[in-house]
Amino acid sequence: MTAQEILNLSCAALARAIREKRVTCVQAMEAALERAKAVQPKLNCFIRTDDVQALARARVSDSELEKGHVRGPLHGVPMAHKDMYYREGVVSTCGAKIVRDRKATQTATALERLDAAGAIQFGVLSMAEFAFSPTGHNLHYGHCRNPWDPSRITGGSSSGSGSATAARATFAALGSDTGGSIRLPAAFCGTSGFKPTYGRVSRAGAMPLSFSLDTVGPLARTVQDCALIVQAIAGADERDPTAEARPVPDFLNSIEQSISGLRIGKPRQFFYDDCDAEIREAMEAALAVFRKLGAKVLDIDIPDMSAWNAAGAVIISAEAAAVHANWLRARGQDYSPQLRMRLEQGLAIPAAVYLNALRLRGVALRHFCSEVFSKVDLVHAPVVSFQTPTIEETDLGDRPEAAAMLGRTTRLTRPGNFLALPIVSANAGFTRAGMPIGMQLMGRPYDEATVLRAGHAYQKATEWHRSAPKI
Amino acid sequence: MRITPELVAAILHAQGVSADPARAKSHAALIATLLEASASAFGELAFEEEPPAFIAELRRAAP
Repeated sequence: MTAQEILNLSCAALARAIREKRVTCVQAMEAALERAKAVQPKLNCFIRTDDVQALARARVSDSELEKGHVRGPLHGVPMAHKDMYYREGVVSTCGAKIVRDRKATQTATALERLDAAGAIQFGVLSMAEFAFSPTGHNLHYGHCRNPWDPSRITGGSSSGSGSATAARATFAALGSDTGGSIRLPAAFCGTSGFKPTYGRVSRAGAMPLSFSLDTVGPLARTVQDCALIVQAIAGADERDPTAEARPVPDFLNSIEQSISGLRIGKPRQFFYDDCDAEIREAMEAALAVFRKLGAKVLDIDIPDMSAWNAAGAVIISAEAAAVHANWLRARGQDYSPQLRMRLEQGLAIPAAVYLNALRLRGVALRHFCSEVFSKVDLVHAPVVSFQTPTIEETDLGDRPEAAAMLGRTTRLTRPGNFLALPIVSANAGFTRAGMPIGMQLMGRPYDEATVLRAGHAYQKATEWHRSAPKI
Repeated sequence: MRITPELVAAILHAQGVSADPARAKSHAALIATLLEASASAFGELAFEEEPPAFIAELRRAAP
């Protein structure tokens, strides 16, 4: 198999090829490292690659395989991750100047579980500074660029995860999603992305942004790969008190089941307000695919989400400000102007307002489940309502108009975080300008299985996820 | 309560952070917007509602 052929494989297909000894772990790693170096000057999607260690681990994985030992379902699969997952003794920059030399004292549970499943980490990826921006800009390490058009944004905060996965420079990547940070880069870069239910995946050893909203999940070429990765990293963890103890279902088995009879809701309100015509058309085409697969597509009324979005913004701002308060006092000048502005705003939010935002979440979820999930199994919607902007258009720093741009970018993703729902994002076509269009499928809490099943069924019936940027 | 730039600057100052006046103005505008957008929903919250109810609700809503 050529390096190009290897790079075009999904995680599942590569893992199978390695197990069947059609590809060695070293061949896969060499292909990934070479591709990473080729795209880096154009995309700036990597913070660092660890070539020597990664190749050494690949050699060990090959020799294990020779002895008949398979570590797990991702044996030998090269991966790079958003640079906010700690590995003991290694620097995680978090896309920030402030911690650029800070070595981690623990290893993230998600990384430990991927190691145990056999994946080999070969690098760390660009991200928004401290994961608090939806555009992908980074003043400290340079802006990450979209492989479909390097003048346009990747989306963030998992910018490198989206860019490198789409560019075939990693087979998959961990991202994190607090207000849309997995789904936005997945949508803008044309990959699949999965945000699990809050608590389904441990946050231990992952950089905190907003402890009430942070979720850990993958970006990958396919929804099936997302299922494979979430299967490996989900589950109870005594290191994270918010990690849910309930058993993790077998996503890989259920993903192949038919979606005939599944009820998919198309919201009448909110998600299509001011929606670009091409995006609306792509959503209609996606819903037609689901109908063809036997799903029932129903127009549904949904509760007003504007107050929930405001409450979500209150929570993320206040919690981020709290965890950054010491550095804001001592090293305020080391933040980019936009992040400093956003953190300062959080410091000024009244405590009662923050607590009311938290009090509202239970009421909102109860209301949403009773109004929506009593009628449908999934809600289908665009990830963003506008075409991919350029880096220049969105490079607003701490100017007053930045708040409106940031709010508009996360408008359709934040409700999913406020309600803590499991959500898959997948490519649903391209604009006439050649940029990917992302759709999201939201399910009821802890029903990752249905969300992943629907996303996988869609990808079995379409070819959008196979499209690769010519970079 | 009106959120003014002076109020925001004073709150930040009390926490050891100094914001320049231009930024304090945009901070005040944003916080006022968030408060306004969430006020009616907060106004409908039951007296007994508590933050931990969310996790209970999350578990209850599971299939």
